[in-house]
Amino acid sequence: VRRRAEIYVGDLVLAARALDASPQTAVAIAELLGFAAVPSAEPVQVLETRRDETPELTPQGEGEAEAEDEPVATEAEAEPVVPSELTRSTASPLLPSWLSRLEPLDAAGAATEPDPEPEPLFLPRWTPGILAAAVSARDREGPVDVDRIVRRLAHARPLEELPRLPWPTLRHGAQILVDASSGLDPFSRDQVHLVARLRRIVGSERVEVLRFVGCPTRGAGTGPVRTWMRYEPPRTGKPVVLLTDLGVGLAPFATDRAGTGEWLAFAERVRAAGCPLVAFVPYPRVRVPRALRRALAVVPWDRTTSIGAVRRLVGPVLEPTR
Amino acid sequence: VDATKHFEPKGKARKGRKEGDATAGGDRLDGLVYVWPRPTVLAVNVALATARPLLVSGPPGTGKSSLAPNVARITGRRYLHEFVTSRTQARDLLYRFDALRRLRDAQAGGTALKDDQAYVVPGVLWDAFDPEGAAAQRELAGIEGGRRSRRELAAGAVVLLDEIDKADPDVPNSLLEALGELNFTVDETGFLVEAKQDRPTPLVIVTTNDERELSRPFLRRCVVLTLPAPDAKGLARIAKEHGLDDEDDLHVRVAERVVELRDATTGSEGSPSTAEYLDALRARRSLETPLDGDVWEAIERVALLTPTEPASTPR
Repeated sequence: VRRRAEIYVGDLVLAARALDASPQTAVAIAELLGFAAVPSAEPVQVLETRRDETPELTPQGEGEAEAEDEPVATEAEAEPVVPSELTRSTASPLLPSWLSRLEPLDAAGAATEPDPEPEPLFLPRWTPGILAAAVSARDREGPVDVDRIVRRLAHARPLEELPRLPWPTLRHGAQILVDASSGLDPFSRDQVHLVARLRRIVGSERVEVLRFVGCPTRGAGTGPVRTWMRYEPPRTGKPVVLLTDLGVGLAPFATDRAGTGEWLAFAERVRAAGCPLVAFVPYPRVRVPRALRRALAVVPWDRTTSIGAVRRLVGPVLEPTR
Repeated sequence: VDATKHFEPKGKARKGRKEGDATAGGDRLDGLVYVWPRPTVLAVNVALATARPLLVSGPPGTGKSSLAPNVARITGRRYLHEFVTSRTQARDLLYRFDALRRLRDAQAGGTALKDDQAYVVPGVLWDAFDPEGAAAQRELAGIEGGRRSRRELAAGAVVLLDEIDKADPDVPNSLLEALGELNFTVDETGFLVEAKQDRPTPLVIVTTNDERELSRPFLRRCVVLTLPAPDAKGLARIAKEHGLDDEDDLHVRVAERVVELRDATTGSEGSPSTAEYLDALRARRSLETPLDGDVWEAIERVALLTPTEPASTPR
């Protein structure tokens, strides 16, 4: 049996027939195969198409009493009968049953429902790929680097080690630095969501999350601000991910705005520790000072960002240092 | 759920069981003891009927890893396994190319250098797809390998890829083609490895601890089974299967205590799983202690309440 394609209804039929499944078992098989058997909140409305009976919208599963409240369509006698598989309802407009059950909206402020979640800044279907591409370190553990071997042997030099091509890996985990400056207030929920996504993709036990204001060099930590410590880069090879605007979203003289020099010093510290540095910035790249764009991989945190674009942007900073 | 046409463990589950085995760990991989909830049996049957991989998730201690050897034992199939690590790459599960040995032979000169195919080492899926071919390849590569009877090979194989979520996310994706087509090519030599047409399709059981999310394309190709943490009744049944039940139902009381702790534990203390429950029962039986008093309290502390974080040192 060859099964290249995704699971489809044929698998369900195959399994149900092979196992002589009862209807109840067939439902269980469907769930195992990923066909969600979600019970409909509203009863399904079925349009009867028999010409010899009065067409009506029949809500399944509703009680008799409720059904009686529904307006019943009657066939218009004057209308000539046209041969057709479908018949047209000639009754007064059929009002759906839920219309009579509508309740007035709550008064302002009385709503108990939480605010709707904001749309993610990255395109949802690309998000895992974008994050994996941005946070994967490149270890020299890929296929043998034949070009380098040939070059060495052609120069009659011995091979001291077997050179291998860089290979992306999430093994090192990531240190996530979340900017808590006032300029990021509009994006605080996006930050929470992105951290959760990173935990799911990289592995929660491999992810360290620290918060900072202005620039991590001013101190960072996990708890209240008073407990924050001097920032230390993680061990060599562990990518550092910034969720920040690099100060571009704040007024020029805001106290929690770090200057380009401060950010460059931070980037240099991280680079010196041998850690790749990537920043997700919810603004266009052109608003980030050129010097910063050169010092760290600035990824626009936006729907237009693609996986390929992220690979191009972060590729150079993720290359192995040795 | 009533479908058990392909696979029915009833009556076979206890075969070969070692009564009251006090030495084996709770997470037994020897396929001797397993409790079979009907949804699990159905999932195995569906995976066999559709020739799809079976992806098993669930909390620790629910029997994810021990499912495969038990299915293998009951179906009479060969059991093959690979414990996935953070360094595992998809190709490791198919084959490995021993570039270092080839380089050494090349530098030695003369007749040392062999054909490239001699440096290919079969992986677990090669062994599952084509066991005779894998054995021949191992011989060519100069690797020792156990011989198996023709009857054993004809029954097919059950392959366990344990904890796939430990590997990088591209590993499951890179396996899609091999698992879907039941063939793959050795890149270095162009050698094609194919599953034998006259054999049952290998049953591939993949486990995940949900540490990382798996890609949608991978999930959409798998039969997905989530094993729930057993309730007190389920734990007591597992204890009985392991021969750790007591006439005075102490194992039931301990099971209830485990569920109580599991519901209450958060933060720095790990939630006790089936393995810890069985360990506590074994310790209690070995030390012949009642369920009250200091000894039981100590057992509970060390066997049921497993710290997940090192205790903080005073400054």
